[in-house]
Amino acid sequence: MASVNGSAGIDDCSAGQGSCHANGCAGSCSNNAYQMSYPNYGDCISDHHCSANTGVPYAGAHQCGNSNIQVYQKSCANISAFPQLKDCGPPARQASGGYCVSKRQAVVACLNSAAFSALCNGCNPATYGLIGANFITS
Amino acid sequence: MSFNPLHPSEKQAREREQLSGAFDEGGLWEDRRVLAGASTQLLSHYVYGTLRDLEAGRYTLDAPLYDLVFQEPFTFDAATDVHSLYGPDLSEVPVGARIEAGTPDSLRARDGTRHAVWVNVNMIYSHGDVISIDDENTLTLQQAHEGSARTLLVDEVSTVNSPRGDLASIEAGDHVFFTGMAETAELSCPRIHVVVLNHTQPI
Repeated sequence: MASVNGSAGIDDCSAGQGSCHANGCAGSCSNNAYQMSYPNYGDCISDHHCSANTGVPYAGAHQCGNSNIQVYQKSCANISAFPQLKDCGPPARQASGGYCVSKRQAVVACLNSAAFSALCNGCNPATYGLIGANFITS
Repeated sequence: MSFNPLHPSEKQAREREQLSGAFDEGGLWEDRRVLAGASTQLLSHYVYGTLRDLEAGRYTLDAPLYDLVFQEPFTFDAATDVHSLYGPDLSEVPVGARIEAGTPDSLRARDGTRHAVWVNVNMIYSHGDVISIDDENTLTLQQAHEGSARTLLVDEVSTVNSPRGDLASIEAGDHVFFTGMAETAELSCPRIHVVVLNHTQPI
């Protein structure tokens, strides 16, 4: 079991049907369902078939959108281990909550705003944009 | 009306737990994803659709869920957090606008009607490579997924998370994620008024 630490960015249906990322791998795009891309998102940018790159961590062989996502729900203490973290929330959010990150970090996955809002306890995703996350990989 | 995002309802907590994959082993997440995709019900805490009609304090959306379309009403009030280029008065939003709303379970009316704690009108969430910084308030980027160029407009209510908190510390070729209000309901609208711009690092 390994993990990828970073941010998840929001990527809605504005990119159109069939685009790779939060819309699912070449699949249907729906704002009214939870959708997210897999952790090695960076390798998927120009690949419309979303073939998994086995050279980097990913969740589930040959799957796209099959990510295991865990958010920091209890403490931000673990984040200090990561050298590049980014503030994605308003200044008051310095403790607890899945969106609590304090510095800059890489974007390693994407999700849609429905999923984002669920992960940040009902927040308005438009005012955050990124959510800190730890992606557990198999 | 108040809503504390740090104290989610039990149902929201369950949904979040499912999303977290906390109990995922050997593909259970995939099973959940398939189930979610096959659902014939809208999510409880969130709804997206195009504005079908409006009356005082109440919207009805045409809310798509894959091949289904629901006529979904929700109410709002003066405490609802609004992001709209039509101003804070939601009565000015035209039919056909794209709407998304946060509708926590705890605020359902007795008849089940949703109540929105936040409403976004014609919001775009996306990312792309910076083509140019045109001036201190304007950035042009190449939309990801082989999309066209977009112009991102920054104003006094925008938040720019960049090394110095402004566009000047972003360069052509950098990658940014953004949220913002489009000037039209078209998903490909070229002009976006930024809510949050995040200058991101490659993996």
